[in-house]
Amino acid sequence: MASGEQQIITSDASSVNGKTTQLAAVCHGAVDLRVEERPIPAPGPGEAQIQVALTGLCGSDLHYYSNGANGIFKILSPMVLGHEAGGVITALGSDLPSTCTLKVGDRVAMEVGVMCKSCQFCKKGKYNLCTGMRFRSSAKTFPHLDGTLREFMVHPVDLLYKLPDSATQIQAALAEPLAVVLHAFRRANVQAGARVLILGAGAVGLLACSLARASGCTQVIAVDIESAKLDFAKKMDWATGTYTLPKGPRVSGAEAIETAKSGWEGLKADPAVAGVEGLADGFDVVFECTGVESCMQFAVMAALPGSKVLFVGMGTPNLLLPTGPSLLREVDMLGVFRYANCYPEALALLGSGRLGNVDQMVTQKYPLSQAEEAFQDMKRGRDKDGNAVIKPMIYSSDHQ
Amino acid sequence: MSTLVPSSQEPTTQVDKTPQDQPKALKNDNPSFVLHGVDNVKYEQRPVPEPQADQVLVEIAATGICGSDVHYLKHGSIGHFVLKEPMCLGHESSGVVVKLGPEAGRSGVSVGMRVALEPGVSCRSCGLCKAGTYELCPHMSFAATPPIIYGTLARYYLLPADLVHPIPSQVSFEDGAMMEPLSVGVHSVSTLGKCKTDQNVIVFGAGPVGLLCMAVAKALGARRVIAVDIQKERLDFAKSYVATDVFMPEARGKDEAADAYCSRMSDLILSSLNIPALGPGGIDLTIEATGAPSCVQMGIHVLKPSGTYVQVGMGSNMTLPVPLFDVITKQLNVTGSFRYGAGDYPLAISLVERGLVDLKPLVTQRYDFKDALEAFEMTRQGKDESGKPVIKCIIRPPP
Repeated sequence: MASGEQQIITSDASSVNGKTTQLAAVCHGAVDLRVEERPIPAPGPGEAQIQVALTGLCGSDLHYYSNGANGIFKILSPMVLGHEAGGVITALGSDLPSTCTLKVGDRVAMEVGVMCKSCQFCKKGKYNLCTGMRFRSSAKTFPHLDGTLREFMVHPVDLLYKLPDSATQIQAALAEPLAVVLHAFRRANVQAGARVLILGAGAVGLLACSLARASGCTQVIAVDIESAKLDFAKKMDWATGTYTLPKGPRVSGAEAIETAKSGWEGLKADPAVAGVEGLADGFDVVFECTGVESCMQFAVMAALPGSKVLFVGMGTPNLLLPTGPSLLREVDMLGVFRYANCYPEALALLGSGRLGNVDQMVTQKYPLSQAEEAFQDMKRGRDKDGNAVIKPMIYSSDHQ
Repeated sequence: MSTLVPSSQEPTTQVDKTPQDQPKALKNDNPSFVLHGVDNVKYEQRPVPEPQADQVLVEIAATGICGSDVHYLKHGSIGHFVLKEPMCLGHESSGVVVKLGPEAGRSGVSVGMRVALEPGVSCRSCGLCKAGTYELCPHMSFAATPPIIYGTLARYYLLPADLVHPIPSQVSFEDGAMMEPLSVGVHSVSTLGKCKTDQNVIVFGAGPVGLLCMAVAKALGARRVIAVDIQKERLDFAKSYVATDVFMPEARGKDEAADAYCSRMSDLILSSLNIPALGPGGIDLTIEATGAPSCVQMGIHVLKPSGTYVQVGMGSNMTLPVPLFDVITKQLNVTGSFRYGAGDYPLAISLVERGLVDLKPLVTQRYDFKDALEAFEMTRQGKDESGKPVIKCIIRPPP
């Protein structure tokens, strides 16, 4: 057993309601996900024990499932997946910080990146860049820190956020991808009245559309290769216009630039853009949420001079950057890596209702015992009933 | 018959350890200078603290005294920080790391390292800490500030490893002790004031904080650093130190209203020093280091449009009139400055290390540990027997 946590000796194992073991969805390698028994951890100093409610799944989880790796980060020892989650506090450890007001029974959202708190990045508030960061369910660091796809876990209390009574566990789980989007919006310094383009209508792109509307953006154009996802955006009234990009083979380098150019030409000619005065000159902010090279290039072409492109999507280790459209038009390109200081605002936004009915993004729910099916459906992009997969979730316990 | 083994081949019973592995032999006492009440200080023995977790134990080498230390001695409180139990004084110190806690090793701090101490331990868990403004943490534990009972006027002091900042050999222990007030200067002038090369900066108050702010501005390449004070000796010193210009406001006229006086003095600053009210040559940054009402007004009046005003000085009355008309019509950035935050100590050390700030002229008196009270009295008086300004008194550690 080689999880990143304290090894729990059976005699010291915590028991909850008489249970001393629990189920966890553990990735052993490519397409080797096993739902197996693990001990229940006891909370150490500064920690709480949480009964996990819901875990949302995302692309990085899918990469670990499919390849046993996420880009260059390879799973070196079996690791529990999942990082978008909330639950209920079942026990509290000792030596809690003076700021902690949490109690057993509180429903909480979990921010799963455990930062060091003493490096220069933590001290200046950019803890997403912490040099000693340990992020649950990421194989970037070793020993790996186990994720949330299990029934019970422990976590530092200052990374737990109490849910108001009106908030749901779905909101707790959606707070994570929303935090990424919020971090991107803060870096973009989106002004009210802005006209934004969102490339990619996956969960992150859709939340970006929703937040853009809520932030007072007057034009929110969503682009994807899948019409079904764009239809969803339209149905939710999160996009003022949409455009379906023609599917094509994945290309790179100079070929990708040609694909990008024709994509932007196609979008410009579409009524979604052509019908709006001046919009063909470019957007005030572009959120690139696909990670596909040609889309990243498309993003800079579609930006207004002097504006910003936020690269949120991952997947292109080396990008060929056309400098005419980007640097020579002073289009600032900003990277986005996870989030910092976003959870409280993300939860408040979700609870406020201003983002609309985000719960509808949760297209599938699976019990923990059927985690394999969840990942298979996510891989296919469709569940057994033929429904599109936008945000699948796995539940570890009964919850509200 | 046993064979005699040549001594060179005998197993040695000595275990050689490199100095880094062997903690420096600790003295077993910790004489401390403890405040019991107003004008009531005692030398006491306190236990030698044991570093836990990521803490390190520092043997103090030098300690400076500041106005706040004197204030606790004379009043037993500052604002809502009220002395309730005996408290060791001192928070401006440097020293040598003598012991590491079990988790302090990976911080890069090692035994024997010469360091400047950052005496405020924030909670690191609240929203303000996480957002990068740990100086505002409501759960801050600050040396020699109630309810904390520990201070650096002792032999030993405990701090988390990341709050002891290494100082290179060309930075003396006295320089190291002054990194604390220098970091206040860095926080005010650089971090918040955003002072840039070739800007014009005016500093009200030529006491220790004002002088350090002037030094930072100069180090950052300010074209003009204008010192304002009502004491000629302090202005003379500022001019000999770093100031490019000095100004001493004349006394207020007998029947002159405060507002009129401040406007008149502000105009006089600009005209006598040939400073335009706007455009190139105008004043970009005001550092207010007195807390005096007239200086607050003048500091706002003299700024050019879009200029920045930084309030770092705390006076006896902190609720006073502010000329908001100027603030509005010139769209000034007005900000308060409190202690120091992320990046300030490293920049302070870098400025001294590179010779851009010289702290040595600021040490005006030195005292042995047993004479610490005299340092407080001298700081309170503000000038020595010959009338020369007292800037920074340094107290040596217990022998």
